[in-house]
Amino acid sequence: MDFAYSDPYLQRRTVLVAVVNQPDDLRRAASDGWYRIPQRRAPRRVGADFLAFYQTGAFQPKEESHTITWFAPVQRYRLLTRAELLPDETDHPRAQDYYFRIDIGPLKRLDQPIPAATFRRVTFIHTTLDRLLHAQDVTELRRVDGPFDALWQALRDNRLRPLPNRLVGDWPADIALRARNGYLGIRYGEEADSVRDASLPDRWRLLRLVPEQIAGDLPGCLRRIAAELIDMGGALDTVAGPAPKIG
Amino acid sequence: MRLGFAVKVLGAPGLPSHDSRRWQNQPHLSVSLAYLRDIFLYLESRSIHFYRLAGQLAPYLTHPELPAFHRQLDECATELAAVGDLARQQRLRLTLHPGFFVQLNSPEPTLLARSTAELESSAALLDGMGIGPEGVIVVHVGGVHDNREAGRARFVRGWEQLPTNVQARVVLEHDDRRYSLSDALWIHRRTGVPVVFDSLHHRCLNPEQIPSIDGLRLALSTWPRDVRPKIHISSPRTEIRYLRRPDGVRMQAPLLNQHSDFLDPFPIIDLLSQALSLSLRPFDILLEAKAKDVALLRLRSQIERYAPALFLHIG
Repeated sequence: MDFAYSDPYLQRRTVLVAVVNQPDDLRRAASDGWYRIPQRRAPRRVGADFLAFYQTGAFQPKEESHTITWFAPVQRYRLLTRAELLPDETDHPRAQDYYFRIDIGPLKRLDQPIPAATFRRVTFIHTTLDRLLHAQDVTELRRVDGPFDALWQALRDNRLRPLPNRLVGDWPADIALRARNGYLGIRYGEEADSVRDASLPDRWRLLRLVPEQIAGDLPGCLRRIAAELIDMGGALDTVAGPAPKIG
Repeated sequence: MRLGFAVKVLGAPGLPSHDSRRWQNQPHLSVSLAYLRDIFLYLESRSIHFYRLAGQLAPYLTHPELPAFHRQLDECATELAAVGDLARQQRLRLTLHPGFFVQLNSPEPTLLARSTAELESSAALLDGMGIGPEGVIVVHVGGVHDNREAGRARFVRGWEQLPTNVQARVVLEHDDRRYSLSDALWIHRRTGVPVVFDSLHHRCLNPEQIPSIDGLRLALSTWPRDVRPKIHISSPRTEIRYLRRPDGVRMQAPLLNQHSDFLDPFPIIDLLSQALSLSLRPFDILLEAKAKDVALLRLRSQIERYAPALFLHIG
């Protein structure tokens, strides 16, 4: 562990931070006591003692937008179809898709709402209650300032625009990069998994990078990513900045 | 041979094995199952295909004074099935080892009834996941209660009172102080209960001086043909123990029956290589080491380095 806690109780309690785009979803969480996550898009870590909500720019008043202000204890997880979850929308195209319905206790307001000063769109963050209660910025919630963040930052430094937590068919990719002729997904920490390239959707490729590779040879990992992107016609999303170092 | 480990994941942060909240905070099996789903994804990423579930996966499920928790299996039927599906997709073997209060040889009727109820609930949990006969529930014989022979005979009677579906899942592990491998085999001859060979227990309590490879062979022969046996392997702790007392910290020599953090690969390689050379039937290996999955991954890489021929048989 590269961090220390004063209170072992807080150290052990886990928190899943969900991004809420729709005010109705947060209202439902407050009034009905549940929140939903599509099973197909669930993060690799869905289990937690608490659920916290990152409110996007869609929220008014503005002081709560782009912050984590509310959290609640998790009481129960249920797996339900969308039709069971929302009986008034049984004709929805994804009515038979399964969702995690997370039952929660009363919403609590953080003494210090956590802003996202250096905004980066996130879908889920798995953290601890201690970090949630003391963070000054959303970026401080990440458990490990390790290889994943190094890779992310290196992609940004190379003027690429990584997208987090995208779905490749039925499989989550931790990072996605757009290329002229398709998409490159990156699975982090997966040396061997059950995803077969043949089962990927059209125009998708998947690269697996394990933390040890990234920590030990980040330039080599970047070269592998660059080679894939070049083979796919070159990166599509680039941001302004210094000349790329990849290659 | 699949290598497995028990309960706690140490190789990645934030992967609790079960909902450990106290009853006042309303823990629930569904929360444990959400954790378990996350653990399974981690195991897949590490190519680990054998895992012992937490004994407290369903919190307070059989607690006699907390009836509000008794219906969790029914409440989580869908979630149990989903987690079981995931385990099957990953070819993940799951087993259970209930708490030490489970004693089928207890002379105390209340404790025997509670033990039976716990085993029934454990079997129902595995049934709910749709886990096949490889999903076994490991128990020990129990206490001696002044008479070892009477104790093992009482185990036989306790086992005979279990429902058939529970009997089909229960397997018996010998221990390091009271009931040896020979005692477990004695019980097997009267009940048919399969015997789990534990390498360290056998070294600590082996009055008949049965060589380990013979003990392994005898234990494997107790398992049904259609169920792959499992064994336990561990190394004795060798480092100093620090005991914290109100008056300070004391140092104490290690106890041989305690588990080490990591595993000594060489005796393990020797035992498994012997098993292979004698063409013993295939079995899975539950590693009991304090470093859990980290110890497993280290042992796996050590076997690859020091015994490449054996490594071909390790999963």
